[in-house]
Amino acid sequence: MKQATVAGPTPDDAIETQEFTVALVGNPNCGKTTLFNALTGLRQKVGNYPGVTVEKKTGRATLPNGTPARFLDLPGLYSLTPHSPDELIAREVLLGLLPGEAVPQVIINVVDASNLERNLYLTSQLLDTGIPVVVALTMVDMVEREGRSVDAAEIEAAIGVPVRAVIASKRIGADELLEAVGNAGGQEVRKREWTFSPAVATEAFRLQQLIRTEAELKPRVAFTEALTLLMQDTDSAGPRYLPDSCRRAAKEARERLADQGIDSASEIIEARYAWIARVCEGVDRGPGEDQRRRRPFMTNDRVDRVVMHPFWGYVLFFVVMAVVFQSIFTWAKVPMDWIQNGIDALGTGLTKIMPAGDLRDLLKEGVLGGVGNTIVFLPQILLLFLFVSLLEDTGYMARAAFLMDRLMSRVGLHGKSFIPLLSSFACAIPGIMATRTIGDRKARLITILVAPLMSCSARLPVYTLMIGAFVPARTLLAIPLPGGHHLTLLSLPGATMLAMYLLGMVTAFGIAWLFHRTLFKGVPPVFLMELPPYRMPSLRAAIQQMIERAGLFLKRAGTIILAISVVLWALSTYPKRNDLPEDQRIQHSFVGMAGKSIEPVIRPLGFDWKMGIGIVSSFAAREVFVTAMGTVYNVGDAKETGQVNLMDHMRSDIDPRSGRHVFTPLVAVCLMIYYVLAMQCMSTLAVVRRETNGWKWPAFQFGYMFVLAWAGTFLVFQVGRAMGWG
Amino acid sequence: MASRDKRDHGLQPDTRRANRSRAEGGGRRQRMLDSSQPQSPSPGALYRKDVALSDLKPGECGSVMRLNGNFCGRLRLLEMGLTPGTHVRMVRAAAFGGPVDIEVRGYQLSLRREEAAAVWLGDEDQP
Repeated sequence: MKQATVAGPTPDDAIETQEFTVALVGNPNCGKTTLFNALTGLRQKVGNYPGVTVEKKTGRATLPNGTPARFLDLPGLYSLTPHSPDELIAREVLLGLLPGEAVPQVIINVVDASNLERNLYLTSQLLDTGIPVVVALTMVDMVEREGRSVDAAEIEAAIGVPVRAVIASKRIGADELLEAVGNAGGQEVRKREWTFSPAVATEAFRLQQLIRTEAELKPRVAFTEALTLLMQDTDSAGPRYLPDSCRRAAKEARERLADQGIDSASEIIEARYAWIARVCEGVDRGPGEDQRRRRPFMTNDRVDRVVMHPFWGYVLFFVVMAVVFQSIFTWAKVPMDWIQNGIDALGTGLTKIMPAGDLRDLLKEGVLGGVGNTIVFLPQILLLFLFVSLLEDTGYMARAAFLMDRLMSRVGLHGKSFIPLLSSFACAIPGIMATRTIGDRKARLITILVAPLMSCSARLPVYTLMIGAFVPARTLLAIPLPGGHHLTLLSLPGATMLAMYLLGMVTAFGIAWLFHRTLFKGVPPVFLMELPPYRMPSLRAAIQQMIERAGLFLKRAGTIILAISVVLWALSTYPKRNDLPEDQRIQHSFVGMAGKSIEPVIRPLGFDWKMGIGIVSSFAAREVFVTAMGTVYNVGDAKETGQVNLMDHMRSDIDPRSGRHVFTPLVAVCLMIYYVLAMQCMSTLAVVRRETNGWKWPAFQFGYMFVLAWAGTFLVFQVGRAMGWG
Repeated sequence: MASRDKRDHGLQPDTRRANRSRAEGGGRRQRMLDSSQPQSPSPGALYRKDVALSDLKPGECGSVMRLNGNFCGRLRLLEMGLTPGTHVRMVRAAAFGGPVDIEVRGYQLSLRREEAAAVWLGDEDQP
């Protein structure tokens, strides 16, 4: 799997390129994924294109004529103009410019019959590529329910390539579609049907000739590139691989046209829509007079009036969010506890059957611990993805983003950033995985970078330990009840906990704003979002999506988590000092040495080497801090009965050098602040690596969060001490 | 390729006119008007011109004249179907200056107000 990140063709790709390849291309929300699933069943493989975050999904099926075919599910796109990495990859695949990926033999263009005009825009670009196209017409049933009719045969006659109506969820029409795909290989190359004005045409063909000679591209490819260059309004963007001479020529051509008062981009796009208008003429029949009332747009509109209402819309949104949050925070706890107990039971079993020794410890603490650390996240990931895919498929997600966009865009985030950030309160891992729904790359990356600042459930044990031991249970706000009782509304421990959650949230938004203004300053925001009609979600698709995401997490992140677990186990075990009592052994391990050697760095934060050991060993996962402290203070099982014991030990620990308490309330607060801000979670880093397809962003994230944590804690400790709170 | 290129030079209808004639033919405009019926009963008040798309009130319609400026989403807006002569309808606007929801070419699109402000509405194509 790791080879996927290496640029260039792998031997695997080399075999694949010799196969009959069919690319599925279509607009977002057109039913492409459902069709892909219907055609290939479960024989799918998900990977990444080399060097980018674009997901590469392939599947296999045999055509009716016996040819085995590889199906390539390209990302959903509105056009072949490269606005985003998705579109860049798709156009490079289709133009044969992507190393390691051969030009597909046939394109299945998935067209949503209920939204013909806009869907046919992409079709007109696909026809230009010269690759045989077969149109799969989806949502025909929806159109008929509206009382309209769209006839596949009439569209076929109008655009000149095979058009087959399919109902993907029931696999109706799939065999006819595959048959057309099988016969499409012999399709003769069609001439371009749409036309543009002489001025633009002259420039386009001149540019095409130049690209053909300069970049040695095939005529069709050069034509597409020429049009793209003529349409692009900035010079920085644009197709890769093209020499600067072509860009310069395009710029001059655009300027020549502008002098004549011609906007080349508008002209080319209008020309395509004019062709679409001719195709749609007579094909897309409106409803009869009596059927007008059944138009779904009205039904849709009626639902939208509530869902997108300036008041009720938000009420509904918060109810939906509450359910999502509750499910991953509370409901997921039950299966998570089963998993944890199961892992513990396995560990106990291992202790019984294996002789004591390093191998047993390695298996129990390293391997089993690592596996446990991975699969314990599955319930949250599965549940969150169930919700995300249901929300996406019903069309609600776009509405929620519409409502939240104003708030989120102020700090450079997207309306769709809300769900990932909310989920991160339970765990940043499913949250970061859910950022896939954010179309805008910049907003997605910022969301990923700030998501771990939300206080996740793994920080709770740290907060509980510190607050329990050092924050007095004083009541801040209470309602007196009859009989001398009080109903406590807010206590000091509660307020401290709340403050930690708020600190994380406020920092996340502040940092998002900072990145928006600095790191991604030049990157333009894009918020052009289709509000798809409400649709009945398919439970099968949702479950398939859940399983796919969980599988990817296990495969990509799980391996890294397991490896780090084993390494961390070894570091905390070796060098082995059997001559020392058990509670002192960890001090002399590599982790102990690291904890001690970082003391100069963490001293200004008020931490000593014991906390250093806690911090180093909890790099795997934050909650390990509690167990590590338990080991350092030798109180045995710090999780349950030992916790009270541990609190006592920590409270009474005196620094032999200064004679003062090691832990004070100020130190406890500083430690919590450190855990709010620092990236002490290798699983999150592993997931960020997987989602951004490289170590660059996780490394940056780890770095900035460490600096933030150190600076924040330093400030609080030093100010606190100067004020005499220590 | 070369021979086909020549042929293309032969037939060069003015695309803008083609667009217009389609609009006059009824198709899209008819649909736009229909779908706006439930919002406002008086069709006469529906169309507005010489304003930006962001100035429309829910239920009001207009016809795209041009996209002002050279902002980065311009090309994308054109590709999504907001070409000159296209009829658009404001469906609703989000609270607190949030995005707007418009109907264009039979589907709903949401865009930020800044982007909508760049879409200038002009004359209907027929008097």
